[in-house]
Amino acid sequence: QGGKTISGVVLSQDQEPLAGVSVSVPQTSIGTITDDKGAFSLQVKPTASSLSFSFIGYISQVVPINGEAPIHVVLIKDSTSKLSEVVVIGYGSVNKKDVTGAISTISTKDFQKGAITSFDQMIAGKAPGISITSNGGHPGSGATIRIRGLSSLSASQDPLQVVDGAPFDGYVNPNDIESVTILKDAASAAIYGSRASGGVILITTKKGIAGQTKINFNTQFSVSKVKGYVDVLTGDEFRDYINSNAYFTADYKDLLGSANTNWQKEIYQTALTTNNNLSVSGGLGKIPYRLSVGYLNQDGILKTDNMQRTTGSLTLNPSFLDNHLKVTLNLNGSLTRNRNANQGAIGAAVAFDPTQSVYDESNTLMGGYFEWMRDASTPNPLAAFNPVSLLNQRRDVSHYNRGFGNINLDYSLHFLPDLHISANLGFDVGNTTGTTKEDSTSRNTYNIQGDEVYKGLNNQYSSDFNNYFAEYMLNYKKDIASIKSNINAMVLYGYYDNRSVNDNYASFDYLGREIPNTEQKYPYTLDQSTLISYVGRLIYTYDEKYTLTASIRRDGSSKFAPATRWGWFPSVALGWDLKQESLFKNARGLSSLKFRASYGKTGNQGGIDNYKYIPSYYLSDNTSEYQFGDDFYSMYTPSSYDESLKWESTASANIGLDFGFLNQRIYGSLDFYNKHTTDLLATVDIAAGTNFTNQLLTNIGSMNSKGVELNLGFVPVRTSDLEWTVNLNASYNNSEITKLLAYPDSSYKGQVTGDIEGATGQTIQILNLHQQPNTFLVYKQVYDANGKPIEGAYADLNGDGQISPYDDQYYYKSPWPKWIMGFSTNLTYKKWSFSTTLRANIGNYMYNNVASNQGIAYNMGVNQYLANGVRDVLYTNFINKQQQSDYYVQNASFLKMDNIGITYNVGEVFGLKSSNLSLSGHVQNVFCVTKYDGLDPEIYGGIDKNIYPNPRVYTVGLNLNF
Amino acid sequence: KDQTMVIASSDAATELTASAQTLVLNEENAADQAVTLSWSKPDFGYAAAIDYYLQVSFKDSAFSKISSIGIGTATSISYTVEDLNTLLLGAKYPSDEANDVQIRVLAQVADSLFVYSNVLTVNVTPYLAKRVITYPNLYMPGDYQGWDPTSETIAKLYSINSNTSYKGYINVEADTNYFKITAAPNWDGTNYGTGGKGLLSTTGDNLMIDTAGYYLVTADTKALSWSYTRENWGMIGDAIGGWDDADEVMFDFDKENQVLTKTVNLVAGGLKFRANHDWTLNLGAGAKYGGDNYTITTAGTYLITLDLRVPDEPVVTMTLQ
Amino acid sequence: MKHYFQKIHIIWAVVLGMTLFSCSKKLDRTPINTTSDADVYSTIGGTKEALAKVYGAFALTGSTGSGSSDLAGIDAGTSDFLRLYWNAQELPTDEALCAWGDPGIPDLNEISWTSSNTLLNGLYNRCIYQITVANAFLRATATTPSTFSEADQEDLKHFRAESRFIRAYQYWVLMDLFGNPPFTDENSTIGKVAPQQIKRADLFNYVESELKAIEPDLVAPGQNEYGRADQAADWALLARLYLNAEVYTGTDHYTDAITYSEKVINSGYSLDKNYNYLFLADNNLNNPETILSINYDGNKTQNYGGTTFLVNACIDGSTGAGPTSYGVPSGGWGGIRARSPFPKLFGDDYTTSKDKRAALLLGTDYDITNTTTFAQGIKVIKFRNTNSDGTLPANAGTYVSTDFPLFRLAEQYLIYAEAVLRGGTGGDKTTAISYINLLRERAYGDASGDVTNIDLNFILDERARELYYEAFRRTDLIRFGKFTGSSYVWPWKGGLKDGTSVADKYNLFPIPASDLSANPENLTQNPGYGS
Ligand SMILES: [Ca+2]
Ligand SMILES: [Ca+2]
Repeated sequence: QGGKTISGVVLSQDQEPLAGVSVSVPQTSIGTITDDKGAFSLQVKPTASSLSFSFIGYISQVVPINGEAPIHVVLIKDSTSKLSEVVVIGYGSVNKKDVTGAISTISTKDFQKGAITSFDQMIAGKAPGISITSNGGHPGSGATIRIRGLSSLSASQDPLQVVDGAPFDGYVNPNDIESVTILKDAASAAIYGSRASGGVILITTKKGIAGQTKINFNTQFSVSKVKGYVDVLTGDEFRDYINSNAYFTADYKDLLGSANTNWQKEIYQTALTTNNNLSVSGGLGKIPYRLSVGYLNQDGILKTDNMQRTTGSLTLNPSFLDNHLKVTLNLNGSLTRNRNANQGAIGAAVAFDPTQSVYDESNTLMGGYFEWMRDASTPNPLAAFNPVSLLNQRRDVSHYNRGFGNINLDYSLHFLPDLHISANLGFDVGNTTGTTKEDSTSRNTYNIQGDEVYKGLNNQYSSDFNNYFAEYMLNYKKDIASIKSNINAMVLYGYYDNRSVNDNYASFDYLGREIPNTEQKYPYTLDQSTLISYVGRLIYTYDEKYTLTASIRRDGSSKFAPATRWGWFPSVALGWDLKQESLFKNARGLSSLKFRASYGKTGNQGGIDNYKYIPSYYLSDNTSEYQFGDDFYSMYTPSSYDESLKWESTASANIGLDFGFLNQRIYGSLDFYNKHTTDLLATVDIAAGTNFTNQLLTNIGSMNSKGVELNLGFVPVRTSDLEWTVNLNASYNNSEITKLLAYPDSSYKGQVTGDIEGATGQTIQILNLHQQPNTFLVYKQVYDANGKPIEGAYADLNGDGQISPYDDQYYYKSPWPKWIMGFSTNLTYKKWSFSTTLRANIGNYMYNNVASNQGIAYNMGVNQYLANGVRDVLYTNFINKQQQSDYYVQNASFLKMDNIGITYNVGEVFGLKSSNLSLSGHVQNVFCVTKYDGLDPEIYGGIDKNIYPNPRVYTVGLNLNF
Repeated sequence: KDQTMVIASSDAATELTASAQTLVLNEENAADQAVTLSWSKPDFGYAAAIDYYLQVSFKDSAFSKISSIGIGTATSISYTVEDLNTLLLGAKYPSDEANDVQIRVLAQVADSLFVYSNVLTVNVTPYLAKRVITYPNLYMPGDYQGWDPTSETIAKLYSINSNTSYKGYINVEADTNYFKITAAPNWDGTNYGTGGKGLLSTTGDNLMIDTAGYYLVTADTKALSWSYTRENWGMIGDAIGGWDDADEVMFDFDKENQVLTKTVNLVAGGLKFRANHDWTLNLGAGAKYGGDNYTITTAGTYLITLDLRVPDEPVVTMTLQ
Repeated sequence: MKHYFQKIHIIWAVVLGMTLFSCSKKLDRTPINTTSDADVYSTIGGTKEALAKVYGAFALTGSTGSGSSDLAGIDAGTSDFLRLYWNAQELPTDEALCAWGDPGIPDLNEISWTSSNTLLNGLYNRCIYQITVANAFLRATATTPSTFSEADQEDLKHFRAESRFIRAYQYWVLMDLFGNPPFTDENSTIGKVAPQQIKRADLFNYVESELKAIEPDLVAPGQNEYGRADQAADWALLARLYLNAEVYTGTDHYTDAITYSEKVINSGYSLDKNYNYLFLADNNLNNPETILSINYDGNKTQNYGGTTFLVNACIDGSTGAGPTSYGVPSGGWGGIRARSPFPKLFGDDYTTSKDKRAALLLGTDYDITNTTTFAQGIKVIKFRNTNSDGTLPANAGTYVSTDFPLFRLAEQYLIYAEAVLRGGTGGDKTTAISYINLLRERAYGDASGDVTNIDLNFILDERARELYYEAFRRTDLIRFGKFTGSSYVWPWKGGLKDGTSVADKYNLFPIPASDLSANPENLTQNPGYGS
């Protein structure tokens, strides 16, 4: 044989034998694992000079072989390892191994990088089951986040955002964020009860460590460019189209101009962004602190759009009384100055006649801009407005100041240190003030009132809000070694109050004259809602193998009547560390395996009006009075209400498996879930005569979502010079409405929804039983032999010889993707590091409302002016609206590269030992592969009206630590 | 598209057939079925919603001028003698002669998706329709027509409100004219004679009008009263020579049809009808009492008929000869 | 150490205090700027403001400005009663054709609507909304507060009778248009109990009995405040109801129609000397003819329906002397014009007619070859936002101040004459002719347009000449059997340029699909419209 046998024992720091440690000869395939006594025995070649010991959660060691002497190794726990990581959960944190629910955590090193201005951009594509859809390219416009598909129809589905324990959706500077944790299943989220149906996003900010003063300076410079324009006719094409089409009468042909104006080009710009952040952390004496300031100055790609935001945050987390009293203070503030461009210019630019010039110097009435006029002194009131004038003649500047924070006092009793009493008090206040001014020559505000012409605008607006909460908690944690048990029990009382005030003002013209009939009846409106909660939770761990989590929450909401306002939200979850079982303990290659199962119930009351259960009357406005005799009377108007309005509740079950192979070089998790929402809050048609309206928000119906989520990580290469990591995630979701009627009715046709542009009151989607929410309800288009759609020809689906709504419309696809996938990779070679993130949605469909509204001749010449059309009109030759045709429902599956970047780590600078400088370059919105014809296949809700396009952004950055 | 497209076939066709090729229409059979036109459903290659239109070519126009009748989704239509007659007269086919009538069907799905059937030629002889009046009526047999209540040539009184109040016209030719009023077209029912001046009696002698002319007669079978007023109708206006009294052209009485008629040459201009050379009682456009002038736009020879049989519902026809 | 403990005690004291403070009562949040119904109806002033909504529900789309709506699922500006009622009564007839392609409009133009027509759904819900508001008013005022003076009690009696009148009016509209609507009254509560359907004939009896029952509680003719219903309005609606009774129930009531139209005729109203003044911005002043109107005001009662719609939709920028000449300098929506048969009721060339009612027509292009081309067709400029002295109302822009006459004397003359011709007793034809000649003498300015004899077809035409664009035409054509079928076709009837026959089912509008879905247990669709 010619070898030698090495044996030995592997122990942990506390001298416990470690089973399952892999023992191998470096650079060879020779290896074994330790048994449950920590012992191993391995035959090696005579030349072997060392053995490598590695175990998940511990720092690997390489030990020299000394003859055949037994080797005695103590492995040290790796505090940075995934397995020993502490995971933030609702009202506390647990070790990752004790997690029982479906939780995704994304931390600093996994964040998307580049010109990141909000946290949602950092986590897009990084975890399964989370859909993040940009709300458009306007600076600060944010994103719509959906966790595990849909859970409601009319109530809010936004996840609850909790920042360092404070349930506020305030803006957090991405540079201050340490990690983002997403509670996806009901068992994890149920602890947040009635606000958690959309899932919960826990944001943890960076903290200081006493004794380690660190300064970080980060600066970025970005250039944003529009990626593409809506495909409309050029001036020449438009002239040809109008002139050659018999549909247009001579009156319209006469309106054609001689210019070739690309209106979209006129309204967009190359926009610059600078983003600077400075943070200092360390200890003020014994008090750890972190202070950061940021300044962002971002231009929108729409001309005149700009945002300047200054943020500051301070964290103090001192301990007192021999660490018995821990205090955490978080304060966040932001000052935002927005110049809001008139976004109406976006649609106007798509539709504006390209044969007209931007300017018409003779038109002094309209500031020298071309506008459609009836005569020199009267604009055509029905015509579109010059997009450039919309931008240049408005100056809407707002100031938005917001501060939020909380103080958490956690006291462990001196006589019973396992019992913590804590209080968490927080505030979130903000106010907005602004003015909207328009030039005296602005077409937008041209306002004839009898003999007076009120020109321009000088309006103000303001609002503020004050949200407070207080939470008091008792927490008992005890490790009872004698019965191998660990107990973590908690009870909590919470009080949450939200109050907002919106001020009402009259309108004024540019001379400051009050525009008639704009005075307001009430100086302000006030909205207030309050939530009171009682929570209890027990986390019990037995033998470090089995973890049981059970919680219950009782919430009362001011949005519901006393009889219906209280709701129970229980949950139970089980974790089972299979790796600890003998069956898997010795499984080679399997480095971790854990089974999770959970069930819980969450509630929802978000996004609905505050007082909808209260019968009340309100007085009508000054322009809504009724005349009796010679006097005008305000009308006392009854509001619609639903006395029995109550919680929407979602019960959800989750089964999951976490696994790791080859010493966690491959790791991942697989989850199955089933969510069932009952007492669905939906705005539906009600029987006429039963209320003071015809559609009411009420509890009706139920909905089900099922899905699978897979998250996979690989570390294909890991050497001291080169590390390559890959993350892949994929999730499948199917949501279906299972009930939607107060009375069962086989002839029920569903509740139409999804307003489309181009015709008031027109919808394209439907909510109905056994369908995905917002399924498109359309006619089946008939095509000619060349594949061109035939105007007005649809298949007679029920064969009665006529085309009728509902009967001949069919359910065709939905806006919701079946599959959402993310792919991230990071390659680090010496000082270079390269990363990219890609995302794909599959099975989502989009209604191209831009084409259906602007791809028809009818809208190109009506009301004595001309409007441009999208190029599709040259193909279809449609004259009239064909808005209900399935021709416009298009496959919007896509693959997008969100981000690609490269970083060079310079290392120490200025001779400072602990300093580090890195330089980076990133591109965002790199490419998009899709079959969809419109500008962007990713629009929340699946109806493509004219959107503010997301630009492509090129960023260079510098990050300096010392 | 993600799904199979519905493609409309370009060789859809429809075949029009008629249940009869030669038709001689006459008024006696007005309510009878005349013909059924049927056509096949064209196959557009998919479940199409088709609207059919029956198109009747105007005489000698080869479909450049058509009467179009919306059928809806049915694939056949039946015409009664009367309806077919009305349709053909409207399409300018002359009455009482055999005409080759061209008919086709348009099967339409959308503005740009349709097919025409074959052109079917049917030989039809229309009739000149007489006016059908359905109000309850009384009969006035007398000297002027030979005392025959069963005759077609008889003056009648009508009650448009279906009550006891009747009105109608009688044309008497001699200066002494006796007549009676009968409830039925025979002598078997109630017969009214005179009950004294302006009164009726079921037992009285004959009623009398003493001067030849055209008269409005009223009768009330409950009040047992009656009256008569002479109405001497003519036409006047620049279309017929002028607005002076001297320009007025008086009507003739068409005994067979109990209406007033005249064939005249008209030029473009206004025209009105009036009674007794006076404007007190006149008829204008739309056969409205006191209505606006008729406007004649095409000069030519016209057969003008003034049908006053139901006094509240005068009918004027002007046919360019 | 002790120092710290004291601090902690303070903290916990605060905590305890807040806990107690944060009791469950805090969950009783109530809105501001609103009032409970108990407060509203505790004074006669508040009660009158509630009455203003009972009326205002057919004048305005909502209570918070022209962009607001009491209804959902329909464009706010389109959701008002008159705009929708007018569209339903005029667009399917020979009087009007709308050029807009907005959903619901082409179907009304061509009589091809379905149960999902947005406008019909809006109209149905608007009528029922006003009934629901009236029911709530009657429920809340069932008992009189003890604090009410005798005068207050008298006012309240009138208020309640007027609410019942408004409700009866809307039930009449529903009966005329939809036939068999769901039925609620003051005993129906707000909530989820779906109402039962009422048959058209039963609804006729209900409306009749209500109108008769409230007669003594209404103010005497002409004695109420402008804009509020009096006994003459009650009789006028009864006369209209009886004239159409045969359509609604199969049994005629022409004698009753004569009785009640005569009561109105003899109650002191007289014809306005100038026909066109009835439709001008100051028609609330010196108007001896209008019995009840829907009131609008360009400053105080703004919306995008009502007469604002009527004035703006009937003109565009190039109509006549331009929008300013019609009192809407920033308006002119270019939608509605007449089909050719209507102007021809004034003669083949209406411009040569002596009839001054024809002077409110404009243009020479009779034929509409393209329904969406507003330039085609004779324009109707009957409703205008100018004052009778030619001036414009204050702040004239788009909103219109002209009040819409729901009931005016002229209609009662025509009802009387028609009922006589149809065999009603208690009236006579000579009087009927004299009433018609009153209308014609106003129209002609002298006796040259007088008639000596009238018949039913003349009445139908004269109603069109007198009442055109006042939302009567559909009901009239149905009463004369000419709306559906082939006895009378007009351009674009049935969707063909020359017009074609349409099925008899269209004599009733369908119950909206949305309500059939929301109330499936109780509602049955009208015949011919499927389930
Ligand atoms: Ca069908
Ligand atoms: Ca007014």
